[in-house]
Amino acid sequence: MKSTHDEITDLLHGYLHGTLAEEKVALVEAHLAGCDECVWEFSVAATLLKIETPEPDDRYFNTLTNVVINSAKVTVPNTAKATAPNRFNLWKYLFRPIPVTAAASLCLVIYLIAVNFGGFHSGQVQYGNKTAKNIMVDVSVSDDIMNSLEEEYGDDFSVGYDGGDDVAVAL
Amino acid sequence: MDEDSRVEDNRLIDSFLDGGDETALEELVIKYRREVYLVAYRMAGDMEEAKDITQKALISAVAKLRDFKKKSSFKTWLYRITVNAALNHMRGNAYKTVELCETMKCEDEGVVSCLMKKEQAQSLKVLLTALPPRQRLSVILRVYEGLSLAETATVMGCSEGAVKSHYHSAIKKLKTAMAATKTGKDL
Ligand SMILES: [Zn+2]
Repeated sequence: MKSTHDEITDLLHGYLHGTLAEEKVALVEAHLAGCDECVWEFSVAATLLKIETPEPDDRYFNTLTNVVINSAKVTVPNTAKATAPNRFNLWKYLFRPIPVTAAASLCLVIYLIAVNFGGFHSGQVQYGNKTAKNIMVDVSVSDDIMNSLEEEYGDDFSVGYDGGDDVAVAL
Repeated sequence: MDEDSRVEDNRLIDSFLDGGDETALEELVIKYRREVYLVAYRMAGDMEEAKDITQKALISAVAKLRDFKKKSSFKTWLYRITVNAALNHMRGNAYKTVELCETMKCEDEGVVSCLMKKEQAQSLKVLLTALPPRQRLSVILRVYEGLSLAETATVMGCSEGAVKSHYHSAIKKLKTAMAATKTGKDL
């Protein structure tokens, strides 16, 4: 017998399931003809394969699939991100690359707006004050803003606003 | 193992991990869920236990998917995770049948006699479930799943020599039991 038990045993599954090529079947049968040990092994295996295995219905398998896929959203996070629709987010776009610079820019913008609002009043009410002098540099811009705001909000806006110094200091 | 199947599995894994393609993962789960269940059932011998093991194994496999380096086939890798899930599950549940067999330290004749006393018409299923886990595993992977000696060794995390030893011990016990059952029935 040329074939060893191990080689034949590797063919056992295919032989019992009828998936072996003809020449392999011939090889197995030639070995079985002269080897009681393998005959026993094959008959044990054949009997084992006859054991019925109860299986759950499709509903179980479908639910299982959903559970597994949902678990992936937590356990494989990078993939979950890639699956999410790629929406453009201006806020993230502006602030992600250089957070410190961006924060500083934001402060500067708020400062300039506040100062411009204040600058209009400071220029009239507290002219001569140190802060007011600095603010007056941008007065032409602040005038435009204030004019448009005053048109929109009327007197309430100007009356309710105490001037730019406090805001400038707070920033 | 089918090379085309292996290539296709790797493609599905890549398109899930790199492309975030959930349908690729779904395809992979659908392809193997039944096989995982069958291995789990043959290990545990109980449907409800097998369902638990199957779910644990698949969730665990997906969570570890980035660790799969494609050195073996995905199927072999998945079976290994399934086997570990089954062994852990059975340890956690103080698995009755294993306890029965192992605490009794059944030798070839011991297995036969203790089961013969319990019920005359014993099934091979009972005998299989009564085998020590590693012997049972070698039979499940070789006979039911058709894994080669090398693949079985990879799944079980031991040498091919150890697989052969477990497998032959198992077959010998089953053979003896089958012969004894036959004799018992004839009597
Ligand atoms: Zn042989």
